Amino acid sequence: MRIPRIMKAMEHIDDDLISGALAYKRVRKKTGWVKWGAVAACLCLAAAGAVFWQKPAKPLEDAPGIVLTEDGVTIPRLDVSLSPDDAADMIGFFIYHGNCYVQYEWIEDADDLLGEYLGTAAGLIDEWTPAEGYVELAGSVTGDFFAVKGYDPAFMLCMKHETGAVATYICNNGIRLKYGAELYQDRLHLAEQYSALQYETRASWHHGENELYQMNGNDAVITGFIEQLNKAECIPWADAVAREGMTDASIYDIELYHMYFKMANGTTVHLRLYENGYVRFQGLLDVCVQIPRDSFDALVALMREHIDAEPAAVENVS
Amino acid sequence: MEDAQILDLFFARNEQAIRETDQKYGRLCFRVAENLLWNREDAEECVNDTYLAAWNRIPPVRPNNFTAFLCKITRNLSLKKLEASNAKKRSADVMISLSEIETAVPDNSFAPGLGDEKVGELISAFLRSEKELDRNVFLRKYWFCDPISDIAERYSLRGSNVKSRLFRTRNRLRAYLKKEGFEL
Repeated sequence: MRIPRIMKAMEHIDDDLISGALAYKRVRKKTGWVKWGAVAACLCLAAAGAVFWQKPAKPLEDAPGIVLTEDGVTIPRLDVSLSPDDAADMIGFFIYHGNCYVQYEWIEDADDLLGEYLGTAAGLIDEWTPAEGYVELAGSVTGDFFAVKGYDPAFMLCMKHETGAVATYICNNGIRLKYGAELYQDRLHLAEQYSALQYETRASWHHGENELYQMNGNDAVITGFIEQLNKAECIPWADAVAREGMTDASIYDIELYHMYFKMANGTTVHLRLYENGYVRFQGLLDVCVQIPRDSFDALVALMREHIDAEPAAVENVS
Repeated sequence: MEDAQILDLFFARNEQAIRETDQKYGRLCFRVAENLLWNREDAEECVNDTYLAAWNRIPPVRPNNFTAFLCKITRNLSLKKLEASNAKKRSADVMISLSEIETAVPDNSFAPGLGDEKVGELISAFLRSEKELDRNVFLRKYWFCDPISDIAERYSLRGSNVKSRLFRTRNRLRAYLKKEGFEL
């Protein structure tokens, strides 16, 4: 196979540019939302702050704003830029009741999901928009949004598109989580509503190979895994990364599997499994849980050997 | 272990240097190789060859930037292995990366006698003039050969936005090199 000369010449790029690319983290600008939403944000933070300041808090260097206290992990409201240039870079989101709802999943033919109409996302604003009309309902997407049947609107909303597809949006900020159950049980209803489990390796996901397998059986192991998810204490992901001595460049390399719990209502709970028992929900990547090794290893062993599993038809996965 | 300590082990010809290098940089090197080769065994072989090359070059060389030193060796070895390979199954991302970058700067645009090292200097100068995000998206794609999906996730961008940034950066690189005497 022939390699273009320019590709080879790039071997001579300066060292600091290479290591710079490894270390670089994108810092989102604090523009519109912070500038114009200051009053609203202050009100909200004042309320939240009354809780934070009662106990010593541990700020995390790698995840500014995320606070770990005895009450759990608190993810503050996002500082997002709503200037047209910056917002166009970002994944779909809108602001409702002062919180950001970020696009999570795209589901074809999911009319049954639509609950009560709650509002209409207004899309992009610009710097000339009056402050009082700035925050609520603004975002990078436009359209009517609805509650998702069976889910708390404070956690999940959805939008229907012209094609008939439904996009779900998850509020992944302005929340506090102490135990996994507050996410996997109370918000996602994982144990009671999952109907099938599919998985793929990190490599399959990474390369878009879609080598999905469906697990048929092993219910006791799966149930045990979900129980441990619920019992585990939530940890800021940045804390787990630091605890494992990982760097920003290598966090991807400890990832083992992507799991897709197919729910009875057509949604999918997408989990990411990492070495040493760490698990993250794709819709809330700032937080993870670490579950006991025996439960974690039992499930990983099943997936590694494809025990009671068969190749699955490829669907859209988040 | 700090890089300076690992390098001291190399200079002392202590084989613990390899183990420490593997522990600290093994995953990173593997990722660089796997992105290009899309094959676990080949990638592992490249990583081991990287350690051997480092062992042979240190001393006398004492790299100022050990991370970049190792990544460069791994990338170079991986490109050579990819060039020698007849594997039918290759990463579509890599094929696209190679095609895109070659379209922007074809081989026949290099002036006679212009060495790769000089071209590397020009690209470095160009990248320094770019915005930090665009520079790193470019490097992630064409140096590390990360898939678009990973770059998008890493920098909280849409995949389409990553592609458009790459397109614009390639065009600017092309214009820059043309100004520097390339026949584009």
